[in-house]
Amino acid sequence: MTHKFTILSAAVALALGASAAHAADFDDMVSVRGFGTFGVMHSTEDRADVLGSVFMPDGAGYTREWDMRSDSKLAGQVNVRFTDKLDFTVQAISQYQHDKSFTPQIEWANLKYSFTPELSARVGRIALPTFMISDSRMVGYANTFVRPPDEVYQVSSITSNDGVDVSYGFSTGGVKNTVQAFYGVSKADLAEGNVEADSIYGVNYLAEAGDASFRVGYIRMELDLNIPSTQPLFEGLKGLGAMLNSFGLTNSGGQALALANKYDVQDMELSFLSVGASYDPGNWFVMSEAIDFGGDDMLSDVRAGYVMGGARFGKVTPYAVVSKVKAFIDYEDGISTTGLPTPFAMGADALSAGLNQSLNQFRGSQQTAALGVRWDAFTNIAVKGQYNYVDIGDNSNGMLGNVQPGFEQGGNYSLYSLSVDFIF
Amino acid sequence: MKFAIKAAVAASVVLASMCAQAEVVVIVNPKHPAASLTAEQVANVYLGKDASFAPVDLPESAAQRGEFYTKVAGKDSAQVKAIWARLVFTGKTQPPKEFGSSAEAVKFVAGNDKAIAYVDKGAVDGSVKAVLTVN
Repeated sequence: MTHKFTILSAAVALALGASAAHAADFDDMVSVRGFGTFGVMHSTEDRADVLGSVFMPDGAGYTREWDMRSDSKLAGQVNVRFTDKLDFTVQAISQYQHDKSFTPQIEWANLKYSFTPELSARVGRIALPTFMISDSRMVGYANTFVRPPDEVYQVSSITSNDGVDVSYGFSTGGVKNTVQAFYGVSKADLAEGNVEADSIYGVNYLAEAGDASFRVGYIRMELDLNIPSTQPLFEGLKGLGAMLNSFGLTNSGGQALALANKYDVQDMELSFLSVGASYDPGNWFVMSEAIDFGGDDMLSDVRAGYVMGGARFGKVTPYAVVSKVKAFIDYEDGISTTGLPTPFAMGADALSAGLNQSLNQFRGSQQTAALGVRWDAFTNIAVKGQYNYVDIGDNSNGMLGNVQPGFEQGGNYSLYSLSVDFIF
Repeated sequence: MKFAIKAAVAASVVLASMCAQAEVVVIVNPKHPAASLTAEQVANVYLGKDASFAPVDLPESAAQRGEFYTKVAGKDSAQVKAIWARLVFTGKTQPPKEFGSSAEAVKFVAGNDKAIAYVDKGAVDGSVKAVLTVN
């Protein structure tokens, strides 16, 4: 944490220094801007929480009837233009954190070098470009909806990447093409434990022609989920397996060890394939994305997508979104209890149930139909209201967290959101 | 009679100048090789898709600004702001530099090889090159 603040203070000191030395050039060289959202959510599902991201410990529904934390955020960004070719960008964002604080985090801090207007490279902390609007997923003012559809955007909540990227743009007969390749690492804290990506690499292609754009992206990463609460499950499976083996019950013992190995949450090899397109001639617009997530171990394969459209009537923009996520979760028969003495059989059943519960907890299926309206009320301020009807998949918790006893899988609920987005 | 003719001439001059005032032209530095630009090329610059120019904006209160974005880019002010918010908060690019008047924009373009601006036609002089008339 300390080094993050050092980067920010250095940027500020640099900015102030530049200001003192060349007050006239300051405006040209340094720009300071910000964005934020004040949002409130209400969910009719009171036995679980709708979470703003997997990094948030609680949210709307069970923990808070009216939740003002999940969508609310405030961010500042400093751009320093050293020369025509060299830029520095730092963005700090304060939003609800794993530890229930709003401690600001450095979301981006990178140096960009433009070799030519077409070719540039960045080094430092950059946005992880998993989705079509990864760059602006937090900037409510830049988006029409209250937040990007959870079904797609919560499949990967990692937003930043410490590493390098290279972008190359070229035109072919009226089409502007951009190819971006990147490599890096990322680490983020969860309510308990953390998630660590040791190597993230990928490539994106974007084509823009007039009002239409098309994007395809592919990412691979190696991920460790360091979650203390999963430890007892794996330790239990390994312990039971070893014990059963030592009693000569090698059929069930082998199964327990194999399950511990199969669902280990370390060194998971994950992949994301995403395709997106948008068309925005001005008075109306449509936008769609689809992703195919290749899971590993405890994280099962996921397919998700959304389609949104809207129309602009002056300052008022009504819109509709349909989104769906389908998780291909393995159901494990678990450890065979045939021939096991009762205490062992009970232990084996409990571990098998725990394993299936964890599989459900990490991935869910659900679909949402949403209606909303954006109102560009004042200069630099947009007010939005959105209604989501969420239908949770069979035998699934959907994308809900903090699931409490009494929660019924496969149900449905309504989510009401109101937000005020601003830039400055 | 003479007076009536004079008055008519004066009125038409005033009217003509009012019409001229509403006319917006896109200008670049005379050193720029292009003799003219299409509306789409200019829209790409002002919507952040083409970084080869340094675009200039007039204030939001200027009539030319609304006319320019509506006719050239097919977007209103709030849409343009949302698009720039997306670009700026990624650090990808900087928004157009804002000048208080057409005259100031002309002066900037005259002194900057990469600059492009939309200005009132009446403010254009020999120091800049008109590449597109907005209508």
